[in-house]
Amino acid sequence: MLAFPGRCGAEELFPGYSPEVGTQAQRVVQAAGPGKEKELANEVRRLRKRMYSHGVLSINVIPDHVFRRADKEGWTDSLASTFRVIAEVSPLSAQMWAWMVKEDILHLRLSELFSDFEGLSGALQGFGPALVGYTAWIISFASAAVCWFAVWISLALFLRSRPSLERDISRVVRLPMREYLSPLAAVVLFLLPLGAGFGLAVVVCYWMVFSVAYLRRAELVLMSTAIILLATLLLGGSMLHLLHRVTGDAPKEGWLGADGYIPQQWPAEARKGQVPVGGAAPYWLVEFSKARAAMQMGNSAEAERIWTGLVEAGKDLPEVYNNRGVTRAIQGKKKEALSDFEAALAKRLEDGPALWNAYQGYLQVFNLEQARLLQPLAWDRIRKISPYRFRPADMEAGEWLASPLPVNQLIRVIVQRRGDLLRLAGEGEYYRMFFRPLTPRFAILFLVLVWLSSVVWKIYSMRVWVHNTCRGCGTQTLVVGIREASDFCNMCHAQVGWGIRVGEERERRALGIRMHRNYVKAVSFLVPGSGGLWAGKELRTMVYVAFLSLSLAVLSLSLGAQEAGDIVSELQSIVARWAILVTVVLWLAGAVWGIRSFEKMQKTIGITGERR
Amino acid sequence: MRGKITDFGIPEIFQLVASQQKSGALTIRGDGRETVFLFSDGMIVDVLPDRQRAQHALLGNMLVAAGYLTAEELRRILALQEKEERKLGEILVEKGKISREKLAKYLYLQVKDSIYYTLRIKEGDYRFEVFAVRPPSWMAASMRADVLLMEGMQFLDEYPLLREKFPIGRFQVVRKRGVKIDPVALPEEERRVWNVIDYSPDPYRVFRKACLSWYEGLRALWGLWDRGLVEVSGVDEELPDAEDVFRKSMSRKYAIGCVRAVVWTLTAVVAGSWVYTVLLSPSVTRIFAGWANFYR
Repeated sequence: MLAFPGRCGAEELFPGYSPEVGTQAQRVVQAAGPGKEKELANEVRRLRKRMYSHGVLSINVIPDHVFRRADKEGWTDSLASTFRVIAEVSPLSAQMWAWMVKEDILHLRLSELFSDFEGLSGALQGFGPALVGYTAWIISFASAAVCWFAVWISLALFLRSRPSLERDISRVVRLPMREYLSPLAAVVLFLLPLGAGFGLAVVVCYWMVFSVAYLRRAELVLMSTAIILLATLLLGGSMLHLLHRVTGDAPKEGWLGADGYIPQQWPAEARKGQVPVGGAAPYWLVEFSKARAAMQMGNSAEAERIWTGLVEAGKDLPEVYNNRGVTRAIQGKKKEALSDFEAALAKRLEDGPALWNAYQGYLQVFNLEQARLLQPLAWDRIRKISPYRFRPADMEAGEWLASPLPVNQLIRVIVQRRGDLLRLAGEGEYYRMFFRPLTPRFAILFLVLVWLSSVVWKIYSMRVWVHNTCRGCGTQTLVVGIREASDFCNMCHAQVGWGIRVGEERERRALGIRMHRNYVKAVSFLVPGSGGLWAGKELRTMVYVAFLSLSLAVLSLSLGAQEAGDIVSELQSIVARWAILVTVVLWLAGAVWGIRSFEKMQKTIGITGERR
Repeated sequence: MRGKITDFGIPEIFQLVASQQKSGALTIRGDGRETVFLFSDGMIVDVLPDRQRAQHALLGNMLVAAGYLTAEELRRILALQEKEERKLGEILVEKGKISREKLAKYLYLQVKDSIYYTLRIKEGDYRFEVFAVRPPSWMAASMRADVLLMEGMQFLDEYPLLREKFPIGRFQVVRKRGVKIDPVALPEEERRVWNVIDYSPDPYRVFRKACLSWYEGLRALWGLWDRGLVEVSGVDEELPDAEDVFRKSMSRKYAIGCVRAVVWTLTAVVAGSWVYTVLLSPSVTRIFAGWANFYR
């Protein structure tokens, strides 16, 4: 019938699930296609019943298989309507919801957008890997944005200081042919850390230290902001490393994804039954996950044993009682099951799945009075559980609702291990990328030292002779006790434009102004927004650089996620295209804004507009 | 009124015209050149140096030497002057090339220079023609001939002695390295020379820049030299043309700018590739995209 997945069996497509569930899930994948929503809905309804009878909440691999088919057969444009039907059986697939949100935005379907966005939000909050992935995305995004911000600010500040720095190099270092060699010396100084292979944070700090003597107060604020953000980069890297340590590197097959997939491997500590140490996965959560996997595979007795073990270990959460009740109910232990549901409700009075299961339990033991009392609340609660689309009116076959892994507990575990953050700082890939050759212990100290030495050097530079470059005309003067006012030379203060005198002096000044203007324009184009620094608009420059950094950070994150050929890759390639577009627009806008600000400032002091 | 200088000395002629408050043109011919002084009610209001023989005393050349005009600009303005038949100073003020006050100072210097030179003439003749002369509008105050004569006589007495103190022939002057002084403490003329001493090694151009006559400039320079603030040395070869020096210095500055632009453009390429390597290269973006593994 269909080339894919017809060649594969249910075992291969849905490893770990019971044959009953796997075969029906395969039928769902085969039924998917453009214009086949009705047929697909029937198959999905059948699959739902079988999933509920096995305590399966979501089969996340279905959207992945459907996407692969659609991509191969060329009907990805119709995927949204197919996914909308499949959402009944794969509610925890965050990438499926993200695809639907993307389609809603592109086709301006606002009413569906809110519903799909709610589904996405529910999947992110309720499914372990999605929540951890989202957390990792936020940290990675913030880290990339910090990197771009720091690089941008340090480049802009270095280029702002370059003319004065060059003159001071030629003054301090007695070079032969100093007019020609001092620019080369400044270039060598600039490229030195790149050649040495230092990490990004070290290079950025190096550039900023060389700029600090020539900066205005507001520019120092920019520099300090960059240094503080670099410190957060260090913490972000160790946070990511901790996430990987706790959750494992392959979430789909790992212990955390048990509510969307059947895990294929477990952490070593969990296998040995030992209490994990350091940043490894918390033992009881792994046990929870193992019990959920056993339930989904139809091993109710094994699952019951694990749940009981957890209760005995003191982890008597409502979710644990509810799930043990489900396993007991499936095995026909109706009274024990009911007492578990009641225990769960005693722990959390309005727990949706426990309410529903208790209601079903009372029905099965013919306690109709209790069932009647619980029914309105049970119906109301399970309807509101996002991202599941439980329809109580259709659930007439005595379906049981399992409780998913309480991922909020996972976040609590990670937060409790915040003490490990600094200890783990040096082990992550981020650290090696950004802070080499520093040792982890020295990294924070290094940033503090950079900031302190910048402050000391700035104060000292106000007591020694240094060159100052006029922001208006580029004239360089040797000054001491530099203040904000000395940003402009006397000629610019007097607003004499290209000079009241004519002849040689005027020609010299005119040439200087032209070269300065060309320099600022080139710098504004290469490092957009830096023209704002020359115009004295430091804080607005910082806001602009922040926006540009955000768009570039999106690009950095999306470029690397395009290779796998799945839903995430396809979504990220779209994100990357938009990020490139936004970056180009912001880049050009920043360049134009910087140049115009500079020209406006020159006009104010009577320079712009004059022609010889 | 006309006669020979040997019969009636130049100081006496000036004194006569000034005391009788005459208006008109006094032409003095001698040493192969002809200089015309214009009087208005006994005050000197203008001078017309010999265009062929006294080029250094022409207003335009004085301003070029002082760096307020380039030779090319002067050529253009002179062409305009010829066409419009107007005074050079008037055109310069009108075009905003020089302020009225600065022009007045250089006109005063021009008259002073011409009188100093004229006083040295031993043989020649003079002619005074009476007619009404109106002072030019840019002239703030007329020049008193008797005051200028007093200064001129002092010049005649002191100049030979002063010149002997400097190297024979051409010489150059530079600021002594490492010397620091508060210019306010210096006498007026010395301060004016000190403030522009870096303008050129050629003392003539420095004095023009300071708006001083050659004699006044030498006197101020001797003061600075005596205080150990400047170094004076003779030059064996002819000093290069000021215009050429200026053009070369401008070309050099531009060339340095071009070299700097090329060097930093290459640096920008290197920096750009570094930014790409650390933030956009596949190896880095793969690490940044570690979050995506949680959805696969």
